Order: sequence, then C-alpha cells, then structure tokens
Amino acid sequence: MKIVCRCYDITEEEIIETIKKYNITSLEELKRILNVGMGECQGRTCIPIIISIMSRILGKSPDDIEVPKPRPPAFTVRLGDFIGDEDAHK
Amino acid sequence: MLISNEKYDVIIIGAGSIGLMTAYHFLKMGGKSVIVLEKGYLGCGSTGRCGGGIREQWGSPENIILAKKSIDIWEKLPKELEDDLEFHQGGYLILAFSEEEAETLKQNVHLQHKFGINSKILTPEEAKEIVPILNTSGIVLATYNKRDAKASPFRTLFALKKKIEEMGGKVLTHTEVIGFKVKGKEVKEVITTRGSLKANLVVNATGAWSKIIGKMLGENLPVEPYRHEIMVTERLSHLFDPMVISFSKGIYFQQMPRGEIIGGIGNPEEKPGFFIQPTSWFPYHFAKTLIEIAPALRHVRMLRHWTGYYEVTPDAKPIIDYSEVINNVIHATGFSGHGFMVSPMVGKIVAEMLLGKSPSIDIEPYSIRRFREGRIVRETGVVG
Repeated sequence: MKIVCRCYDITEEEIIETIKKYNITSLEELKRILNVGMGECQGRTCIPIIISIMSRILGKSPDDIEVPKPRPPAFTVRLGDFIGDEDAHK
Repeated sequence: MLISNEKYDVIIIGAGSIGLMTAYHFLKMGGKSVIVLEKGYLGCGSTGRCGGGIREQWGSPENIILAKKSIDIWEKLPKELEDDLEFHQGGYLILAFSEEEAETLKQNVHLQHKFGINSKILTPEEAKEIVPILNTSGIVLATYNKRDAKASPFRTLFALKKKIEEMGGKVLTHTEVIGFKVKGKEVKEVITTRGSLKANLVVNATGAWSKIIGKMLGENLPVEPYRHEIMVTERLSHLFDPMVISFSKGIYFQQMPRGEIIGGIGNPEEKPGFFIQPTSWFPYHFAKTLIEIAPALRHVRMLRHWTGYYEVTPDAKPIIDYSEVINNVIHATGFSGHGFMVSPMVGKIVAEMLLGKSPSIDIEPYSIRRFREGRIVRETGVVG
C-alpha cells in the first residue's frame, strides 16, 4: 500500500481504481471525488505524485494534466483569527 | 477529438445535477438516444461548488412540491445508481432571531404540513439538544425536519455519469456550445467547439450560463448569475447532524461525513455578473456570524474558500418550461441556489416532457410567462 494523499490517507491503488471506474480524464475531477489536494497540505504533497500516476495511466504527458486551482487561504486560519478573536487560541 | 454529423433524439446542454438527472430519467423511462454536453470538466459549474444540502422546509408550494418529490427519489437513488452518494438524512435546523422571523417560519411550517411534511417547531433548548454547540441567546425558535438531508454533489455527478453511460447515453465534457443552426422555429444543429450535432430536442440546463444559451436562441431569460461564497474547515470529530441555517443572517453550515464543516453566507451587496474571485468580505462576515451562533467553532481552522453561482430569477423560483421562441427547446434553470436538491424531480419532469408524456406535476407555476404577466410571489426561504 502506497499512501499518496497524507491528509485523507488515499492510496495509489485507490487513485488508479477511481480513474478507471469513472473514466476520469482530469485532475480537477479526481480531486472532487477523492478529496486529494483538498486537505491541510492543499495539494503541496500529493499533486506532483498524482500527476505522475495520471500521466502513466492515461498515457498523457504530465504537462497536459491541468493543475487544480489553488484556493485561499494558502495556509489554514482559525475562524476566530478572521475577526481578531483572541479566545480562538485558548 | 472532433465530432460531427452525429444525430441524437435529445441533446442536453450542461452536465450539472439538472442535466444529468434529466438524461438519467430519460433513459430510465425508455428514451434511447441522448447526449449531455459540458463545457468544462464534470463538476466545474454550480453543482460542483454547492453545499450539498437537501430540504423540504420551503416557503412556497412550488419549491415544497419539487423538494418533497425529490427526497422521495433521493432515498432510492444510491441503490438505483449502485453508488455511495453520501446521502444522509440528518435534518435541517432553521433558526429564527426575531418575532417577525419566527412568525414567517411558523407560517412556512403550517404550509409545509398541508403538503404532508413533518416539520416541527422547537424551543431554543430543544434545538440545542440536536446541535449541542448552538448558542441559544437571541434565538426565538427553530424549525426542524428530520427528513431533510445532504448528499455529495461530486459523487452524485460521477455516479449519474457512470449510470448514464451504462444505459447507453453519452456525457461529453470539455465541449462548449457556441451556437445553433435554427431553421424556422426549430433548432436543427447544436454547434460546439468540437463540431456540430443534429438534434430533435434540446434542453438548456446550463444554470448560471442559461441566459447566454437563451441569447443564442434569441430568447431573453430572466435569470441572472450571482456569485456566492462558501468555505470548508479542517476535519473534526462528529459534532452535529443537521444543516443549520438562518434566513435573516443568510448563513448555512453543516458537518460532512468525513468531519469537515462546510458553510457559506450571502453578501447582500453582491451584484449580478460572472465574478469568480473569492472576496475578503466573506471570511470576516462568515466567521463573525458563525461564531455568534456556534462559539466553539472559533478554534476551528478554515481550509479552503471558493465561489459558485446562484442563477436567480425575479421570484427565486425555477423555470421549467418550453422555450417561447424555439419549438424544440426546453429550459430547466433559475433554481436560485437550490438546483442540486430538487434535481431528481426536475430531471423526471423534463424527461417526461421530452418523451411527450404529461408531466407528473403541474408545471404551470414554473412557466416563463409568469414573469411577463406579473404573477410572481417571491420565495422567502432562500439562504446563502
């Protein structure tokens, strides 16, 4: 078992199985069904590995696999911090 | 890949929940040849950006009927599609923060009971038993309906696509409709970025983009896209089951099966248009309102924040009708932020229309002409 997504514990086997099951052709789609790239690391760990897996399975060049759009905040922020709530860290 | 000269009985534009549910029901009822065209990847539109809530607690007969019949279908859908849609009936808890709002919610519950919905009026203390992190101060009353639910928009789209393909239908992504070849009052061909397709019937299920498709057909649909923002937090252990919403504060939030909290708040200043960028208005106002309602969540970290569109009509109720300009086009749009939850019944109705059957509910209330004739009463139960 090879863990690819360390935020959601998604393995290489699950990624390959999902690509085949739903005929997935883009990383934007894979991300939505497995949550890969949407965890605390925001894809920093898993996305390059997934691109390499997808490129192998789909027979595409890694350059032809679109990288999912990053979402703010770039790093996790406590909800209380948005309103200057000092109790947020207690 | 180029496509050309292929002919279909039905071409559905838009592979969101409305378009795919329509294709699924069409095939299920015996329809044969259908293709769904999607301009981007599956889930790139409003379904793939929504909160996934499903409720029958509405304020108008039009939405109550669609939602109730949709939940009847939702309950059977995971089995029919042979897939896990993360469908879960954890209820909706709706909060009232003033006497006036309490009165509106009571009237809604009264109306819902007429349609056989088992919504209940709860005291703030009873509401806290269901959502223990709730701050009851300021809450006048709450309404609750256990049959309300949630489902994963992504899993629903992918399961539908898979089933449609197994049943002989087609779903083509990355194929944008750029025009129509019209002869007399009929669409003969749908022109896409990858070639043209011939069709007998066309469905416009393009949500926020339906006005653009309407324009290509020479029809002015009263539907405007409004940006709405939403966020998700890190995962937590299980805290509460229902979707919690407030119409007066414009907020909704729920906990997902994996433990994240997902929620949004509407910006009353938002103007219509295609503005996809997230704003700095949102995190502040969402956090402020959420922490008032559930103070413990101040400690929780926001992970991601994104936007999507509500396609809003003047009365915030849907359009399910034949085109007034072109004879072989049906519009299913204007769901005003709540298309995903009613998509099963809408798909069924549109499929019936496509097959020349009489729709199983009266579609007159969803007509386009109601706007021209001024017969509109605005839905009070819109959130986000």
